[in-house]
Amino acid sequence: MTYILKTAHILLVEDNEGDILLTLDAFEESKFKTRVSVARNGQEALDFLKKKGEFSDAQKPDLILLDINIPIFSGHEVLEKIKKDEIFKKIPVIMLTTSSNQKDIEKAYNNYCNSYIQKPLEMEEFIQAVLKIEEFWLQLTTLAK
Amino acid sequence: MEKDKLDIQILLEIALNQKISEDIESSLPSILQLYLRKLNCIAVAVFQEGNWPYVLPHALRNNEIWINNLQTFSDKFLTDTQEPIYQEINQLNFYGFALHQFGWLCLIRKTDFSTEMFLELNKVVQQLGRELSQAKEEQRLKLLQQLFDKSFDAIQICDEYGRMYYINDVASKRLGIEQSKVNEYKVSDFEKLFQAKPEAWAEHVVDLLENGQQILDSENINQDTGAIIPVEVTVSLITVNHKNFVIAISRDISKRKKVEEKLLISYQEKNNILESIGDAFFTLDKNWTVTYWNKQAVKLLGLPKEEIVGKNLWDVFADTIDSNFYLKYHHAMETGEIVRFEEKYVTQGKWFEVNVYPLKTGLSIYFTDVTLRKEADERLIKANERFEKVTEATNDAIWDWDIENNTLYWGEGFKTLFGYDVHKVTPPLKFWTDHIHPEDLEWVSKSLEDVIKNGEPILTVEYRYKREDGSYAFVINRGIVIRDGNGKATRMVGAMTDISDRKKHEEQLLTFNRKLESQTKELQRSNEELEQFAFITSHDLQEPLRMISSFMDQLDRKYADKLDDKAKQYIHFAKDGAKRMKQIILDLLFYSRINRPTEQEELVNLNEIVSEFLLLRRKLVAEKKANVHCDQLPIIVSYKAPVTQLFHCLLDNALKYSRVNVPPVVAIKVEDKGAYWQFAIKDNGIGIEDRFYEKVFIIFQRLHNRKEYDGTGIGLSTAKRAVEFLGGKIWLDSIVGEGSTFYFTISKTTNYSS
Repeated sequence: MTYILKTAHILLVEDNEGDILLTLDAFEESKFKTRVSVARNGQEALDFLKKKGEFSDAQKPDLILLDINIPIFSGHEVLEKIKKDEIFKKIPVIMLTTSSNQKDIEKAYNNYCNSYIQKPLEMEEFIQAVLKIEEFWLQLTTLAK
Repeated sequence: MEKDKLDIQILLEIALNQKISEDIESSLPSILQLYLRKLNCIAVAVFQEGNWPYVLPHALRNNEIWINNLQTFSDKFLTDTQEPIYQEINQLNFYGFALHQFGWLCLIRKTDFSTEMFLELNKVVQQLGRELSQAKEEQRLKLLQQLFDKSFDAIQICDEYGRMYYINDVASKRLGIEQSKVNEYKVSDFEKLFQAKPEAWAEHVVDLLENGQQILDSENINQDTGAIIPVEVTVSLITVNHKNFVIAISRDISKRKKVEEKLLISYQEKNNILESIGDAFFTLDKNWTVTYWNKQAVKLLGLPKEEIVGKNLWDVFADTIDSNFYLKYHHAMETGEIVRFEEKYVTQGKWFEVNVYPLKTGLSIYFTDVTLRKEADERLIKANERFEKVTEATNDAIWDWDIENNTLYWGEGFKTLFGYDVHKVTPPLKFWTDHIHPEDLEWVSKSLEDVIKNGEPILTVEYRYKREDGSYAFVINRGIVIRDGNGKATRMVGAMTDISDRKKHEEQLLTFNRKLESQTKELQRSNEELEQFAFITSHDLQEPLRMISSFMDQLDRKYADKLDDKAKQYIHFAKDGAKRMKQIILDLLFYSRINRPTEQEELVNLNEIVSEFLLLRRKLVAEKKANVHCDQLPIIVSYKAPVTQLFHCLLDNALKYSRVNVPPVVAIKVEDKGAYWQFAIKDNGIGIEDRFYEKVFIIFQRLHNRKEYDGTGIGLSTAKRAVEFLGGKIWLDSIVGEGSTFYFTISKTTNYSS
């Protein structure tokens, strides 16, 4: 129950403002306390993790929600760099994308993503998906410190 | 006798006017001259050889009557007698007195004539006659002797006892005795036969008496030279004054013998030649009698010499009368022309080559059996005919190359195809090579060389060949090499086929194919692009659609209590539109994915696919109270995704277009057609008009208003695309108001159309 008191920190890597809003909406409906940081492209995501530039005071996230189709570095590239980094590789990375392309799925798992979730088209389902991620990763799973 | 009286008056008158030619008178024997004067002869005419060229002028001067009568007179006594005659000449009262043998005639007037005078004259004449006769005889003998001595033959005369009587100069030399001493010898001195058997001579004489002349062949020894001379002796018996003499004339026949021997030798040689020559040979005389028949003739015609020589050719070969043999022989005999011909002797079934040479004596005929050659000729002619016919019948240019003599024969096709007059050209190989396209020449020549040298039996080359008009024809040239016993190529035969049309078609086809290929590629490319486009768009379209859909939901969820009914209705339509668009995008995605299956081929249990469908659509099935019957379906090896899409699309279709208030009844049937499976999905729905049978498979093609039957117009086109990908076909049968049956096939062997 200690986890309930703790505010979970989630990094959402997403360039689509609508999706960002919807994801934030979904987390709002959660009964858990979460703090969501947003990186709007691959470069920002990496900078955020490495606390570079404007993200110098950023905190290490507990979970990363990573879209594939994002500017500068794609989600795959970001994933690869995270999973090759001795420190960051412990952070669970959930691919959250509209792509149902088998190649994308394969590639993501080959790069050690922790989960691959297609964004549901229905809002209701999307909210359910986000809540389940939260519940599974932040509540059920024991993460590395 | 009345004749005693001669009226010589007239003659005297004539004579008075004429002097005796002194020449003629002096030519008469002197005694006669004397008597003529004494006799007071009126006229004397001297005649020689039946004419009266010398008439004593005093007797005959200008008296035609006398001359005419004299002729008559002389004609008479000249023929009748040799004795003196006395005759009354007409009524002239002359006596003619003539001595034929002496060639003179006197006419005496009757009146002057007395018996004493006549007797005296007769005595004189006879005496004169004797003298003349003796002189003539001597002369004659002299002449004879000279004649005998001039003869090249040896002449001997002996009496019937064999005593030598006369020999001529040649005999004298040959026997070695002098002519003057001939009487000292007998025949037996020279003839051995008669030495040994004296009685033989008597027999010989008797023989001669009975048979007259005898001709004997004998030999003489030339005493001068010692040489033996072959002689032909003509022995005759002559009788003079009841005495018999034997005349032997020996003629030197050594030259003739030599000629004869030569003749004999050449005759034998000729015979040998005639017998030994390979040709059969025979001769005929002018009466068609066979005079010679050589061995080869015996062999060829199977007729021995004895049965033909001496017989008439047409009697023996009656079967050839009126045949060509008969006509040609007669022609040669009649015209004297040499005749050559070939003819079949039908009776024996043999062909003969005959040469007929006319001779003075008839014909000589040479003939040989040419049956084999003739039959070979006939076969050759037939073979040639066949060849010619084939050459005519074919459109190809037949050729025959005599490699050794480097001559080419061309068939008619050469003119038809290329325009060269085959009768004008009897060309060497160069004629052929000269017309080959320069670019092709090198390798064609090499191919030909390879075939000839390397023992390949057949040449097949395609190249361009120049026509007479300068244009080029595409030809295929096939040829076969004929080799001699040593494997050397001696001849080559073959045919050139004009494949210009074929080549043109091929090129057209090739161009067409290339065009088609490029079009296909283009189509494929544009299809791929379209698919790519469909895939990308459907994917990219989902994002904004999701935004619309999601925020409409959020609006509905969060602000429901702040919106009036109208606002909620607007939201409903927006959401409904988004939902339909989502379906179109999904269908399109589905459609575009058919040709790009992500998995491998696998065992696909069609029964499971139907079960999955029913599970997936269980809500709809329940709502519509649908009844789905299914045969036991096969398990096939295929791509699962398109097969699933195919079945689901068609089953969806069958459920969707049901009649109002009629629960759908769907039957799935299968038939094994050998190479493929044929499926049928039958429904009891609204049916499709037959004019739409094709149209229903076109993408986005809808036949119904959305209010009646919702749909994107992609379902059946997806099914069609899946069937085609799986190497099958799809079609339908339908009755409007009763239902439709969709048929489709799936190939058992994998043959995917992508």
